[in-house]
Amino acid sequence: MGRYIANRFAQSIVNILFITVMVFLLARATGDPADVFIDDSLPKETAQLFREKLGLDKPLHIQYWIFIKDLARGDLGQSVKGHRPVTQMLVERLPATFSLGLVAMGIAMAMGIPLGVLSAVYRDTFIDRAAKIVAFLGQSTPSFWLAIMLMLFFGVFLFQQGLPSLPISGRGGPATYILPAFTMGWFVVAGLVRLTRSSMLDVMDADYVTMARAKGLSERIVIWKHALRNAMIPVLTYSGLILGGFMNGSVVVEQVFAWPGVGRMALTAVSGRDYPVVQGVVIMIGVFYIVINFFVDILYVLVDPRIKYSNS
Amino acid sequence: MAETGHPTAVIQAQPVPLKRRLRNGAAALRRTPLIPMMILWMLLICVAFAPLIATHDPVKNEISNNHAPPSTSNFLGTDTLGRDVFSRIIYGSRISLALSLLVIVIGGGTGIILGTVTGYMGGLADALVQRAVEAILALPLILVALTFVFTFGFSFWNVIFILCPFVAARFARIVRGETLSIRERDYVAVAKVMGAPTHQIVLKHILPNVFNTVVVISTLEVGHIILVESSLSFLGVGIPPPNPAWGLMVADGRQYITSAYWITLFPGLAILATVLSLNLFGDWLRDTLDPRRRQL
Repeated sequence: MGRYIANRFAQSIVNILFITVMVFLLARATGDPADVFIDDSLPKETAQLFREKLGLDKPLHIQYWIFIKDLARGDLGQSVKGHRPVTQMLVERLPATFSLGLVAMGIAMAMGIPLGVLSAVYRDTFIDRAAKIVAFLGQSTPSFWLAIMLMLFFGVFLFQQGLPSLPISGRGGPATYILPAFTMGWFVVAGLVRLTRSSMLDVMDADYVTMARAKGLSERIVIWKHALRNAMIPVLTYSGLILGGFMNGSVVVEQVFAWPGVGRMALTAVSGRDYPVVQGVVIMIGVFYIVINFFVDILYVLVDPRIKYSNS
Repeated sequence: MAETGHPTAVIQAQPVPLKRRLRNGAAALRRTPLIPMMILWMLLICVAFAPLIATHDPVKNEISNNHAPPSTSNFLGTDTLGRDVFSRIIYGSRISLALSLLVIVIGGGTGIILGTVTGYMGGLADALVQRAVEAILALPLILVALTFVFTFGFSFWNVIFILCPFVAARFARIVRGETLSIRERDYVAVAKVMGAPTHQIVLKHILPNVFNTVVVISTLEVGHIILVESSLSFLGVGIPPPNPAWGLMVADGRQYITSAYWITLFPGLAILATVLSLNLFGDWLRDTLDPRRRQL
């Protein structure tokens, strides 16, 4: 067990190193970073001084070493446009992205888990097929388009009809969360439905479920209490990965709904060629995903000792 | 057919009762995704015969006729520059399909080679490729692609170039998993004992066995790539205008959504119908080609 965790930990560290190398190379490939800082009108000597100050006159592997050293201290560099530390900007924007991700997850679970249970219980019936279509529909809808359609209906159409409508942009009270969170959550319902379904089918044959039935418990209690509780283990661990996936989807959704989160900040940074910010966001999301993956794997082994942990 | 004495021939000779055959047939038919298949055929027809189906030139402006609602002359209305939305959707199918197929061939092909070879050989190469695959899959695809395309210019080939590593990583991971189990089979062991070289084992024994999996993930990946490409085009860094890319069309209409909903609605529906059909078709393929992996 201890060996497995150590091994998995080492793998995660190597993964993170790979990410930093890729980001570093991508950042260097996007052009000389000094060009962003240095105006053409500056004299050559000043430009050279700038390069030295930024460490850009050194060979690539030394630049990478400096990059890694700063990173380890949590220093992601300075924003070119904002003239502020990228880390600070990230910390400011993270609550908006995270809270949206959590609400989206709540919505996805509220839809996906009951649907998954129903399609397991009514397997191969009309209900099962309908749940499957709903799940696939979620996976196949382009989120930018869904966002616009939701805005059109819940924001514009209902408002024009004089009915209660929903806010369509910005972050404020709870109502502002509904449309963006639904847009994000809708995409992952599919995964939750399928996982809940197969996990429920696994436990429905288990002895304790038969036992509960034999005790004369009502079918409702057997399914929603005894079976579901055990079927939730893989679903909950999978949810961690979904949260990581939301960080990627946040770029599009935050843009359409003018949500003041990390994704929108990154998009603005890309169009402003503010590469340190883009680089910071990419590294943060990548590392976040690897860390979540690590904990999910550990958690998996902890809650279910039957899972064998091999070193392969 | 010459081996009449063969035991399988005897079994095959026994007739299956008609009733059961009908029932099996009906069940198989019910599971076959007929509507998705029809949609995919329609898509292929659009790709092949776009000039014959389209009623207008997809990139010709006709400002005097802009924001025209759907009518008999413009089935799905016209956009801000007066271009016919229907014709643009028809031509757009070519862009989406060509791009995703190219990414599947280049990226998927690389992933298959990496997955089978390193999965079979194991050792350091395998470990390194796995770490790289996990690292790539952890990166935010949209954001990385965005940065890349923004820096190197909006073009069809740049979008393909940046999507390939991600698709390769997904293919490599799945194909490697499959290879690991095939590697342990007896016939691979026999081939190895008989002195077959590595490339021969991979080519003759492993590749044919991962073929079904590859077909299934390719189908599902085409849908995924179409979604990503359209997201990039929507954000303005994918296929450059005035090309009729579906994502670009959705973005075009966004500003006029309250007065001219059709500019946004129909291209989005085209993406949805295509990706949904691919997903349902891929799911059915998985059930059919690989009954072991069928989700009960």
